[in-house]
Amino acid sequence: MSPILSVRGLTVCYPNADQPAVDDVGFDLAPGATIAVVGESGSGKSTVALALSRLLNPAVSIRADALTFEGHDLLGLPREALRRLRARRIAMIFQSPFGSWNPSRTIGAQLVDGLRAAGLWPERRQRLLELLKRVGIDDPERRLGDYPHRFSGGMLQRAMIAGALVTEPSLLIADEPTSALDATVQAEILEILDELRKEQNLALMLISHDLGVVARVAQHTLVLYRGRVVESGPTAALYRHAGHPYTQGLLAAVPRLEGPRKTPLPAMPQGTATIGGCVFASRCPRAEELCRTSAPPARRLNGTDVACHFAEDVRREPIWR
Amino acid sequence: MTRAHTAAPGGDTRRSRAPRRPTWSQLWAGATVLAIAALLLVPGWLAPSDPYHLDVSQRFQPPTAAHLFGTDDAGRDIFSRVVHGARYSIGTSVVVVTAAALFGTVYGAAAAWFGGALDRVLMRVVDVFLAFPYLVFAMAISASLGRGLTSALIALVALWWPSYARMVRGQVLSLIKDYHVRAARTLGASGPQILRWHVLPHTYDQVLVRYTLDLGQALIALTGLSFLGLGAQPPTPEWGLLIADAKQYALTAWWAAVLPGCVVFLVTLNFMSLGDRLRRRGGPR
Amino acid sequence: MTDRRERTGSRLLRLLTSLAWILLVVWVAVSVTFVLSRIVPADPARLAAGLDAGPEQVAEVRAEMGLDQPLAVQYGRYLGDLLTGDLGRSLQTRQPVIDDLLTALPASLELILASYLIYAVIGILAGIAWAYWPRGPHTLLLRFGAVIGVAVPVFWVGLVLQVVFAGKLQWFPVAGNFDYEGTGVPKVTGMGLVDTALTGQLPLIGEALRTLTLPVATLVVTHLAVTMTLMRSSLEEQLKRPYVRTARARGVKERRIVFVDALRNSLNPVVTMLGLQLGWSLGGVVIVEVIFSWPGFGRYAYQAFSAFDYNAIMAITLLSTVVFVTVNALVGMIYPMLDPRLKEAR
Repeated sequence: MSPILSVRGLTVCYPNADQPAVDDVGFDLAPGATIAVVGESGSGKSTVALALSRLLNPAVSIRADALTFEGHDLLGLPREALRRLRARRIAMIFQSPFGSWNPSRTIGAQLVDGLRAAGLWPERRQRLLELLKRVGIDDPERRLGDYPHRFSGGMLQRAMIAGALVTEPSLLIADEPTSALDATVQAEILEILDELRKEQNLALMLISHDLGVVARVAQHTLVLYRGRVVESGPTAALYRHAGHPYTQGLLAAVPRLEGPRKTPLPAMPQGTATIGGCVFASRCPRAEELCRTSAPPARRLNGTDVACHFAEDVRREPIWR
Repeated sequence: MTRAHTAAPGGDTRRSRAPRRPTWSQLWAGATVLAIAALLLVPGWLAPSDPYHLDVSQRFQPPTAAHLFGTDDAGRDIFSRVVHGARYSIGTSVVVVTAAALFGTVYGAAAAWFGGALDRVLMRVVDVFLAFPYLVFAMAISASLGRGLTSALIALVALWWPSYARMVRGQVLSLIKDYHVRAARTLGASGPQILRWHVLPHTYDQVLVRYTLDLGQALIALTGLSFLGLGAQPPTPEWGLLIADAKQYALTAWWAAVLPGCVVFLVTLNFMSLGDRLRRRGGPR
Repeated sequence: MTDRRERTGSRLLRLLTSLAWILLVVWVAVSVTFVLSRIVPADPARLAAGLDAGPEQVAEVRAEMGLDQPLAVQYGRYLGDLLTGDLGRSLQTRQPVIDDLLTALPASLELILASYLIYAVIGILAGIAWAYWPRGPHTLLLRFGAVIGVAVPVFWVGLVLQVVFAGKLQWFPVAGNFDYEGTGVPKVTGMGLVDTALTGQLPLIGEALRTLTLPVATLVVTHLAVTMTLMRSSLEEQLKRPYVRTARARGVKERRIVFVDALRNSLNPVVTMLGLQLGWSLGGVVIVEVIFSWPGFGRYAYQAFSAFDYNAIMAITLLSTVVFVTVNALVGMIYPMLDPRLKEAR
């Protein structure tokens, strides 16, 4: 099946930054599939999401060899066409439930704004109420008249999901949708997202720093470090035999109930230039001279694409357990 | 004001990555500050002639090389008068804002530190002061105390300190909850010690920004009072008074009113942009 | 039901509290000015009796004015008179101060309302435009205007406008407000522009506008910048909020995002500032009225302050305090309309 979203060589530069925030990122997303983008804060994962939906400040430069969504070139699209695409085809959910709603307008008014922008008001009204009920908001008709401060964070995020999916988009970009929520609510929201994805044949791009969350829903995972893809592949393969030291470090950071405590990843060093070398070299215990002088190309190894000179060794003798 | 700044421990982290070479705008700011200081300290060196010297044969001379700002109705050199007037106008503004800032800081810090009923009473007083329309009250106070520069000064200080009190109180209230203050308390530092060394220094940055911005506003307010005859009295070359005198013949000898006003504007502009620069350097808080 | 009753009760309580606050501030203001008026260096009785009056006459006048009584008695009498609406007589005009004020106020109101409408509207619009189009040549102009507006003294703007547009170019009159004499325009409101507009005669309206232009322009130039800068920074700050990004992600049109979503949230500081400016306006017109010999409240105040006309001074401070506190209280009632959280708390 041809992908609905195809990204090649995506590079994003903030003004006055000496290094790109996103550097040569590429992936494909098939209709109805889920891809996860993981990495620490500052790895550029949110920038990828905002670049795809072209929500970055116009002063930020975005370049790509290809950035196509359902046959449209996202970079070349005029403003109005882009707006229509966001209104109907690409939906987004953001991290902070309270910040993402306008405090001085009712939930209903804000959701209706979205439907209006999509040209689906009022015919989708009933559908919106159904969806709200579906995501767990009781008495949606009445709740639509409430202001955001009357909602809990989880409830706001549920309403956000309903609002995102009511236009029946083909792609949902979820930027850390559950990070600000309690663990129990997190699980519920993920469940709802996954169910609705299956029902609506929705492609989902999930951005997260939490590999536990990712493992539950994504078939495919992309590991980002300092704007570069260090490893990507089917989630299961990535979990079983991570070939990049950074992936291993992230996996080791997932808390577990049994066994000895794992060695934590060393903290991210400040401002070290990685020009010419591997982006992870300054933090990697396995780094050698080669790593500092030449950037490792991505290679297929046991099902994942790894950008590490010593992936075989790392896989044989994991650095972090 | 510099002393207050060096005392702030928070200032050091920023100074460590101080700019390597001053930019043009920094040079400009420095130059204007020096120029203002020179006006205040050594007006005699800058003024070409005696500001009080009357020469009726020279009255209403338009600006020339000999009389940069022209002459007034009594033939006095206006440029010299402006130079000598700086001491009255800028000098008094500095005194006004300094006194207001000092008193307001102590008052606000005391209210926050002691808290409780005292705080409530002290802040109610501030509220009442801030509920007065200050322009009219400045005029009323100044008129009642007898027209003069001192009366204008007292009037402005009386109305200016409450905003400092409110600002400093707010800052101190949030600072005394800070961990470094709790730590100092745990180590057994006394109340005044904590206030002096661990709380107040952190308020100086904001007070300094406000102080600099207010210097400009105080200059406008003070020259305004003098303009209305409620500040300096003749023959003082205070700027507002200078302009008020020139107002009568502004249509025939425009320079006498317009050029000194220009100076008031430029000096105010300078204080305002200096304050703005300090605020931006301090980052968004 | 009880909920509603409770809410009405608390609203009443709130209203009473703010009323009590207004009364407290006014009382303090009255007392302060009373004290100030008794320490004036000039002897009011001497001023009232005239320069050629002998000592007996002065003593007579003093007794007549009640100035020979102890201060406490004078204070009590002053408060009592105030409650009956008696503000005393002016030493200069020998008229009841209240009459003087009523004659002077319309002219000032005309200046205040005209300039306020202009700078509030232009300030808000320019601020929005600045935030909406943050780049381009127009920002240079706006930035320039903003810098000038906060640093320029009122008296200088007034004099420069007067010298250039009235003196050199003679486009506008040098001083004075609309002259009713010989025009047959009935003095209905006392505001030249309104009265001429009521007659519907264009040349007269033009004349009224001409007299109004320079003083109003002076006030606009010196008040515009604050509103404009505040509006811009406040709206810019809102447009950086995540909810704006959410709305954009939903495909909501940019214009709708700015005017429906962000604008309302950004109005709070602007409303505060506009309230303060309106509250200050009676004091703010003094210098302008003096420059343009505008026969309003400001010029009356100037004359009263110059002549130690103590009854007038007390009335002037009283009136401007009442206006200032009342406007502030009214502004306080606007906030809940802007913020639903406050509205529900009522």
